[in-house]
Amino acid sequence: MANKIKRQAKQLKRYTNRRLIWRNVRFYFFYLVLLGLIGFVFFFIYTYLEDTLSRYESVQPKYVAEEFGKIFIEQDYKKLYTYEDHSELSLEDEEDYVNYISSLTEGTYIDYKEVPSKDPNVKKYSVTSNGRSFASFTIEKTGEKVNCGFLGDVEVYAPGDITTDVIQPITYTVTVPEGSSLFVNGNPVSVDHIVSSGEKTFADGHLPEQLNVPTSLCTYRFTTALGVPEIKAADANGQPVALTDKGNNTFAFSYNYQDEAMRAEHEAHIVDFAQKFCMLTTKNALINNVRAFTKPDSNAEEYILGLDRTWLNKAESYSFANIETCNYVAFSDSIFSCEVRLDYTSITKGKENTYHWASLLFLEKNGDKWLIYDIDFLVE
Amino acid sequence: MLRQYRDQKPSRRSEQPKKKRLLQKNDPQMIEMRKIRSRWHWGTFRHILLVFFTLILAVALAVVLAAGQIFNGPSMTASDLLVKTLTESSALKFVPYLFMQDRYVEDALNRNTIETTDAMTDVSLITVRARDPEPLETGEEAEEELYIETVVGATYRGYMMVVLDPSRVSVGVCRNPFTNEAGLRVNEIIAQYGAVGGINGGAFSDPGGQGNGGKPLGLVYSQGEKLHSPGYGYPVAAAFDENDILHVGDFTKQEAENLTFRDALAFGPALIINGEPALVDGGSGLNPRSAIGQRADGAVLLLTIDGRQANSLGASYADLIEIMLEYGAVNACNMDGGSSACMFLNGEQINDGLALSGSRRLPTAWIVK
Repeated sequence: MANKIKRQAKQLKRYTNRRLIWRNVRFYFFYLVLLGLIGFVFFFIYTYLEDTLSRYESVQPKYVAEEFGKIFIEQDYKKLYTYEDHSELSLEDEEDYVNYISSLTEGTYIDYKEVPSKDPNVKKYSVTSNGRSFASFTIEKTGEKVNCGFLGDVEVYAPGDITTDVIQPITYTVTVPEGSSLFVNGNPVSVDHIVSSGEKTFADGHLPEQLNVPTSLCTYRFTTALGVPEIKAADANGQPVALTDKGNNTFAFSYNYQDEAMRAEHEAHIVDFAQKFCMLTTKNALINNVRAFTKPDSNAEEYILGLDRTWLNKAESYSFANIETCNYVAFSDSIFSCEVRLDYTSITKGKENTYHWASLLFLEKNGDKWLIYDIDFLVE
Repeated sequence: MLRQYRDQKPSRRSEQPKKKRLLQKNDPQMIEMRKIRSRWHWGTFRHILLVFFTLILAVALAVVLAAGQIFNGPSMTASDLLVKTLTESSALKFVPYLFMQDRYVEDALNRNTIETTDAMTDVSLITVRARDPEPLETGEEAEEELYIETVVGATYRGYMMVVLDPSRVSVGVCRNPFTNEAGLRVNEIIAQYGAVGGINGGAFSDPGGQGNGGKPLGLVYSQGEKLHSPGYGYPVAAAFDENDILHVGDFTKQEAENLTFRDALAFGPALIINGEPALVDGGSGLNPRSAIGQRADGAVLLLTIDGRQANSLGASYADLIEIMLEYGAVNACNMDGGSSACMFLNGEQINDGLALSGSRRLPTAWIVK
């Protein structure tokens, strides 16, 4: 009996050991499955995070801003031209635009950074060149949202506007001789920009016809937006026409004023004529004294000869004051004009009179002498 | 075999053959049976233990790996956000340094800045509406002048308390003068002044996140009385002058006196000054926040954002600016946030605060009478 019990106990032990081994096998199989599941969960978490974080990063507004920022940093101004409103550019084209901005930013450090915006739907960025702001751009909320899992819904931004401080519309007024062509930055300005024509210069009607000097002008008005433009004019023969900056964005054709150079040479002669002319009006000079200054058969001589002095009285004394010559204009090597002014005081029959005398004289070289061939009296 | 063994077990039933004897305690079968039971139980216990610790380890590992992936993964923005969020907290600011090299943490912090102007508040931009000369008598009337709206964003949920009459908003303190004793909970400060509501206030001494909330930092004015000087690392303050206009900025002691502040608390940064929002470059972390602002009509905006919760991670400074701008704030200043952020009205906490034991003990609060 005892042996039987022992045998049964042994059998029981063997059986139990097998059962325990089998249970362990089942458990570790389950455990491996569990580890596999954990691994799968890890993989799932990793994939989820990778996906969510990538999506979250991709919708950040800084990348939308980067699209615009790159245009400036890479100085891709042709692309910038397509973004910026350039409706105000009428005389400049894409090439001018690119060249102008390139010239402004060449060799400078360009960067951009966000600046405060009062509109919560708009982010604003300032672009700087060597620290100085020269452009700005915006990005705007589209209203669309991207779900970024545990990071919530992220607003999607889209590029907004680009504005450069480069485009600064300035209106110019340029007066050139009629028949001339006007060029801005090398581009011809169409006649559509002419606002007036037929304006006469002071020399109109006073110059010999064979002298090719313009005496009639027209005025252009146009707007440029890329800094200070290069404005040039050429006459009908293609010869450059000098333009003078009159201030306030106004340029005008100008004759060759040479006060400094010519006054020293001609002033005494001019003043002498003016004084003699004044004296002639008080019978204190002879007509031939005055005539000697004029060109024979000229308007000037004709005027002198035609002067009616019959009713004039000779002055007992006379004097000159405020004598001035100016605006010497050389039309050619042999023709010039100038203005002369003086106050002539005469005492006639005890009565003192002062006259202001101002006239525009045209002189022509005749041999080694300069003779007056035309006179225009200035109203002042 | 077991079944066979069980068949051999003595049965209480009467039909059990009498010739079989009952197994005794010392019988080898019984001894073996006890051993088997013991081995079986111990084995089961070991298996359960192994599974349990494996799961615990897996969860811990998952958290660490997930944190590591956020810190060093494909999104620099998310990494910066987490760094900023954790470094703004008192207790967890060491965590980013466990996952990232110090210089990368510093880089992340440097990438996220807030730039404010040095402008002083332009009082001409605020026109405080004429007050009713008769004091409000009943709670109902008082509430007409005060309302709370829920504000919800992608990562936050919060509450905006709008107080139309700015003279109702002042600073409540736990005691005057301040001592080394613990501060009071915001609802206790509100009750102490007989006020109807309020939010937490300004900066306070909180070394290692273990402060007792009894000592403020920076400027504190309460009802015309200066209780604490500016500075102590919190130069920026929000302060009402005697004309109920909220000034936001960096005030020296002399400036505070010249501007005749009525109530003031320090924290910062300034969010909006004279309608100009501060520039938040890269944003800040997502945390519970509080802020105070004022509209052009003088109405005071008291904002509390819940954070560090599953349904509200928190708000950044940029979020606060956006909310304040939407509510028409001309001037606004960030106040103490984190576990301090709370809003009360009529004795009830409006927001879901972080602390299980109610609001934190603090030295100061913005209260609404």
